[in-house]
Amino acid sequence: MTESALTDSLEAPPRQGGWHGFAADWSSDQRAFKSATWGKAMIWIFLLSDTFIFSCFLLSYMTVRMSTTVPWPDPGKVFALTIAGREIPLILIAIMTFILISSSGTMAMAVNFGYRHDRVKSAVLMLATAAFGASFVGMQAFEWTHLILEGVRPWGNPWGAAQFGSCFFLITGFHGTHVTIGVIFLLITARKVLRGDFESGRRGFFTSRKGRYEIVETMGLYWHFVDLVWVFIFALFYLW
Amino acid sequence: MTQSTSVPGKNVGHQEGQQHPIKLYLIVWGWLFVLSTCSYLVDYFGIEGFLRWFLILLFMIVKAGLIVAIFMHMAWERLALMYAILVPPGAVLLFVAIMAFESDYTHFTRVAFFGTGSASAQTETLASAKPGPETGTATAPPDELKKEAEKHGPEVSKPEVASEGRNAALSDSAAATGEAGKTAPVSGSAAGAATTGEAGTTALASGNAVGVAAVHNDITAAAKAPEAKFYTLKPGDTLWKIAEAEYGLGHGGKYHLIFEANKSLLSDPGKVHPGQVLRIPPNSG
Repeated sequence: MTESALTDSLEAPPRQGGWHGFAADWSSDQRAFKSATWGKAMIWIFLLSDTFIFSCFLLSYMTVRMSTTVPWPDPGKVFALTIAGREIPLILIAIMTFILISSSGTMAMAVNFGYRHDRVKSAVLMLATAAFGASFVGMQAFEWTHLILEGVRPWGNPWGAAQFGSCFFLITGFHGTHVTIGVIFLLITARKVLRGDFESGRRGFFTSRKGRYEIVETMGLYWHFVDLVWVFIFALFYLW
Repeated sequence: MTQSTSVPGKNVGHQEGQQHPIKLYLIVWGWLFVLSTCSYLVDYFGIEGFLRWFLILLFMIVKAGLIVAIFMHMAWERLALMYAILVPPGAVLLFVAIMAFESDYTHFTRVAFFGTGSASAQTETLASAKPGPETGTATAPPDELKKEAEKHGPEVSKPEVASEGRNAALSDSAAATGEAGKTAPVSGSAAGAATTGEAGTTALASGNAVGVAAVHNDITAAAKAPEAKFYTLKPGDTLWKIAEAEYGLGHGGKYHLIFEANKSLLSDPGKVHPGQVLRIPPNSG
């Protein structure tokens, strides 16, 4: 055993990489995730469990869509918007996709500036991320209203298979809830960063140890996951 | 990008988290935009078939990979974490295969047993009930006959009744003789039904039974009720569509009237099958 808690704090020998490293990391009574703190490992495991939830939703959507004998409504037409007298298919969804990707970009940079202790830049980028997220939720609310007025219900719709409504409301609703929660936590984290909670070690909700900006990355991991899920929803629900 | 967490003590920030040049994030960001545009264009230009699926899934996987690897920093984590997080979702692929097989089978059985419309039970000869001379109702109070009709009505839709023949005949003369009522109890009690609606629904139930090719309906009712319309479902029809066609555009929300009028046939407004014949009640409200 080359590693233990004791030698960890001293000058530790470089760790092996590849398969040998994989085996060594798991093979003894020690911290398995050497490159990640417990906080990071836990958010990853949370995201893994969330992956399974969304997988189950998308799977049940696939199952009902493949097994119904009634034609499935064409998402290209259902989600089309008329702009300047021309009907453009899926345009709102495309805009929502770009907004969410943009928010992922600003979030990645916020994490980076957080680790550089550049509080203002990090907080501003997080607020921008929150603004993108809020506009995404707003557009989703617009889309829901539009479809509800056209008569889409979880038990039926004017165009075809009744399961369309239930899948749509479940999947986008659950994703929208994730985005909303993300926006709330982004605002909380941005405020903490701006106030310098992570420099002063001020005690509080989600405030970690002094001088550590890891919570920004945790926030970032959650936010990127929300974007990641949207990539799958966009491809499988809207483009199928 | 040259940094790796396995190299100790590079800088202070490094011990806490990963540091990568901002440029890297901007490049990935740009690529995500390009890939999203590409997948949108697949739909915009209406590419279909295998190529559509290939392109959509390819762009999806590349985008997901970029987000996880760069934005979520998974590319710089150690294998122990990578495998712990990335391998379990692989089980989902197996799940996808199982469910695809299952839904294929479900679709097959639905087509085989319920039909998609072309080969299923079609009722053509249904006429709306006309007032005329009544023989069956004279001997019994209407309420009792109504109960009788309700008791026997659902039986019509059972396969054993249908298996008696391809054509189910409902005739009021059967009820009049009384004897025929034993061999065809359904016909007898249906004839006794006092109102147009009652008779109509019973006849409809026979029409929707599996294996019945045509329903010949001679039922006559004593009371003159408002003319009821009937509608044979075509593939792709929904209650909403029918309501819009019958009650006018924008009145699709009245589909519940049709559903209420055909509750004995429909368990759920979304579950209608081509070939079913529905009674369309007059527009109220």
